[in-house]
Amino acid sequence: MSNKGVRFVAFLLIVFVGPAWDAAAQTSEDLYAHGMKAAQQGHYTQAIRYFQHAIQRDPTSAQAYAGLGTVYMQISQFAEAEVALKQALDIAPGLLQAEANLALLYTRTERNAAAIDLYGKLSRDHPDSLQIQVGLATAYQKASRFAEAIDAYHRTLNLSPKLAEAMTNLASCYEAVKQQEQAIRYYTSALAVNPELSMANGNLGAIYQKQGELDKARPLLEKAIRLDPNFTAASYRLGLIASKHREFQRAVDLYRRVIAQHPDHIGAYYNLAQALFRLKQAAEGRRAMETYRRLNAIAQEIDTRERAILLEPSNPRKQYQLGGTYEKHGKFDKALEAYQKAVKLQPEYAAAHYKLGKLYFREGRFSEAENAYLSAIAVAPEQAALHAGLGAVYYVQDRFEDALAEYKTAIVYDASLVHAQVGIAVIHHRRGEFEDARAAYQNALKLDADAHYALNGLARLYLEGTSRRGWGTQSLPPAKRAAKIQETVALAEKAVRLAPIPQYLQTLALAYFQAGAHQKALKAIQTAIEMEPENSAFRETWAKMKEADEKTK
Amino acid sequence: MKRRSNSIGILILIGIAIVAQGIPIRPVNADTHIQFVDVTQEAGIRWKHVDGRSGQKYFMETLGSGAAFFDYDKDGDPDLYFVNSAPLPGYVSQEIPTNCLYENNGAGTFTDVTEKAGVGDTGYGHGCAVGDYDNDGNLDLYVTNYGVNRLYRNNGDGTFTDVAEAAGVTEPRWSTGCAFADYDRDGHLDLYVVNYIVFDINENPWCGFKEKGIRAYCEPDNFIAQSDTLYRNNGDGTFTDVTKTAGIYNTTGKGLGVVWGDYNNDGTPDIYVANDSTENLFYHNTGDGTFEEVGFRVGVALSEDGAAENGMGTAFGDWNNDGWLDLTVTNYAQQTNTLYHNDADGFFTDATAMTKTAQLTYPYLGWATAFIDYDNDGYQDLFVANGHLHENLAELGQEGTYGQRNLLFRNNTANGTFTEVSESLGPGMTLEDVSRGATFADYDLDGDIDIVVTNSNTAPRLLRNDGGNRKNYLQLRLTATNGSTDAIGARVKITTGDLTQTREVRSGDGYLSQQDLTLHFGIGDYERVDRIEVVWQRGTQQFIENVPVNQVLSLEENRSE
Repeated sequence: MSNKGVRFVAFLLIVFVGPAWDAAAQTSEDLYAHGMKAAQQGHYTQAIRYFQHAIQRDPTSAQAYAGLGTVYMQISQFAEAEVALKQALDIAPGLLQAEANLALLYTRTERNAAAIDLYGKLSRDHPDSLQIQVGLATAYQKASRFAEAIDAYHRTLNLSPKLAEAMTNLASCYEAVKQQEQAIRYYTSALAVNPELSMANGNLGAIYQKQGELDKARPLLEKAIRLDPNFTAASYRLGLIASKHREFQRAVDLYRRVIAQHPDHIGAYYNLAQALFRLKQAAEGRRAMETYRRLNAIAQEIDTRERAILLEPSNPRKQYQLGGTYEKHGKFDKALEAYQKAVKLQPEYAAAHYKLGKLYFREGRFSEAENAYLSAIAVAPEQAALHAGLGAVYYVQDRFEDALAEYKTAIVYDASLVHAQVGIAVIHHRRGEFEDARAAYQNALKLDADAHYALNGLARLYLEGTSRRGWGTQSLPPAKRAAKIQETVALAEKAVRLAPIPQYLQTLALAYFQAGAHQKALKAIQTAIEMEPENSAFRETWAKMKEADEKTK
Repeated sequence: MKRRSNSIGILILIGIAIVAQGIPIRPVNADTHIQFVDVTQEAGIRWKHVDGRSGQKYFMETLGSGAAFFDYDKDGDPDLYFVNSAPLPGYVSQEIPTNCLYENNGAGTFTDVTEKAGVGDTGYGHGCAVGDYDNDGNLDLYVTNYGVNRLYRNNGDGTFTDVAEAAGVTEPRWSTGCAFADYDRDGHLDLYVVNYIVFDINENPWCGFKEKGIRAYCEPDNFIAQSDTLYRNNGDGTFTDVTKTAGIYNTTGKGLGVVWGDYNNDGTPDIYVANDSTENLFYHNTGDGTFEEVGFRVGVALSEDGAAENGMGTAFGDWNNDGWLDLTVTNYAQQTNTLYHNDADGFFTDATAMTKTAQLTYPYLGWATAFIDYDNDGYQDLFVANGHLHENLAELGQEGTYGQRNLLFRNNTANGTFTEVSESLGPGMTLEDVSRGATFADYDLDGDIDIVVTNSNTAPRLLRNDGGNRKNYLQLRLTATNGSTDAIGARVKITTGDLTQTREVRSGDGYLSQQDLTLHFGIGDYERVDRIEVVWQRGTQQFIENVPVNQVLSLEENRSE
């Protein structure tokens, strides 16, 4: 769905071009044919194997590479697909299957300019190819080059006058350039060909709703939702009509449906509040109003940042600030994009590299995180936080020596960096170097007595000591052992108090259990399970505790 | 233009129901061809707005200024006042812009009497409103500025005296809209002053495309909002700031237009404020001297999709003649103006799309607006003054043009829609100016509503309505005896056959402007008004029946009530 709420139809087809199936084949060509057959039947893993074998037999088989790339694209492995398709084109420049699918790949991966270039070339070479015209039109549409998209869709319709999806997309392009009458014309034509096209129903209904033609809009929107219950824009527009017709309960139901599908939908919250006030459900109305205000404030903050970039598109600082705003409001994909633009504009922008490192790390893209931190360190080698961040990247990849080195470097530059101290502690902990781990955790807590991750880590360390000979409470005399267990409970309780996250609750449950407070332990682990119902480790802990508790009874 | 054939009828209301007699009835003319003609020059209006620009893009340059039609000398025809801006740092000219008062000569021309009247303020002016705040029978004038405001007390001899300081209404912040109303119904007009944003002339931010060196006016988001001010009239020539105690204090609004109106028919005036880029505010008058802000709850704070738009001007008007005041707000370009329908249950419905006013207003940057019955058919039409604020739109990559034509939506009466008809209304309605304020009156006393539009940094337009009087009309001038003499806040309902119309006497509305206090009713083809019902500010009612049309009727409140 586009950002204006107008949907367009994705009806690009992957191009499989190949010879007929021959079961007895063993040559590269035969393996290729097997691959094609498997791909056409939807057996993609099998197809990949066939194509790979075909390439092994004949590394110059452009068709096999093209087939392989096509299958990868079918299963959305775009990086592998791109490599294979480009290899095919290296071997056989101009190979239709490879070029067409590479263009499609560009469209799917939002590289619209590249898609337009390639489709443009293909369109000149194959002006009568429906799929290429559709591809070109779609690429233009995705790039918001609506005038060219309109031309391309018209060419598509010249080739296939009854293609309802092309009519729908053409109509949505007309909508984008505010030619409402043309949009109505083509949506109507699309529906004449295929009345069951949800997007044409919904988009046409939305136009009529905006024009105040509520009687025309209503049945179209109703139908769109019947065909596609997840058509958010149609539900929203129908809600507005229900409000106008004073069917406020129906409107409330529709707005709630919209919010369920799109929790940030400001308009739905606004109109939900209005409808609730009309129904004299003041308390609920106020709640919806408060949510509206919160979301609206976020939207306005982002809007302000985005407009600042329109005025100064080459200013890396503005991109950085936009990234920060996105990040603050949990829009991490967009934050990443903004930080990437910032470093593209200013390659030595250490703060932006640092932010990229953090976000890549968050997404588990460790190699990119490492590169980002290294880029930042190259610019600002004495920034402790950069080394601590890089240490974390190494740690999660079990590169403990590298991680330790980075954490220690971080502490050299900033001895008060708690994260680095805890990082060191955790590495020692993982390695079974318990005394070193304890010392590091305690160092961290000296720096910040409320460092909940250090509190939890130390509690865990003590708990594990009970099951390890020669270390921890296990080796202590009973009185000292009891005191140590109480200390563990206190650490875990404080960690939970400071940050009630399920992992800390699990630690607390274990501590309580060891202290003999079974009911408290069970309650704590139950709370953790409620917070993360899918966490099997929590359920396992609960089962073991329950079993042990039953036995003691 | 068509001069009215009959003299002005004056009728003093004495009893509950009076039958008017002996006033000639004008024949109905079926021809409805109407033209608005620009007669600014021939009317003798030479004043020009000067925004004081110097290329440094001071934000106040964009707002323009308002105008007022009011009969300051009580000679029966509306005079005309213009508010001017002032030189800004870097402005190079010998000319000192001043506000200007034109006396209506009664023959379609005006004479500049500014100096004699003493109302030529040289502050950076924006808005004005009229009301008899001291109940001496003369209309006084309030003027808002970027800086100290003015309260010009009408001395009754053709001169005015600025008493703002003594009255306690100087309001030194950046004020825009203003309007009088007797919100506590104590018989003395109170004053609402809209304040815009915090702006230091010495710290003018640079906005626009820095990399390309293209400077633009900043946006409201670049500045901090400030609260409006409500002044309560003490009845002794002074006012008290009751903003906080009355529940008006609110630092979220960047206000421009303001209008008073009794939206829920409870007899007390409520306040609507159009804010620029922030939620519009709607203060419900609780009747105990306080207000409750209800804009969001009743549905008039935002667009249909919950967006805070750039509200500029605003007006109340009962466009569907159901006895409940509807509301309109003008907005920025690429936003539609909004038309809210009063549902008569305390709520409003956004009727913009349903009334067919959405798409046509979308490309334009709207400012002044008013419900006026330009064709005397008995249904109020909708006027909108337009004009962009960036003269370098193309450079800024924005759609539209700096000069824009104004819009006049004809009320289609039967189906609840409007049709934009300005192109058929003569050359005066197709001019592409950078318009801001507008005021309305039958200045030539020919029985139809004429329009004055102020334009940014240039001359205004006096658009004479020729042909609007081909249907019948009735004009009412009210004089109260039991409250503010100007009858501001009085509500009039007239019934003619199956046509019932409601109007309020109102100070300050639209955009920074004041329309004539004389109420103008189009009567269509009816030749008599069956019944006039007046509800005066303090709640008393009077009726008059069987009133001939095509006259100016002066009504005085019954002293005995």
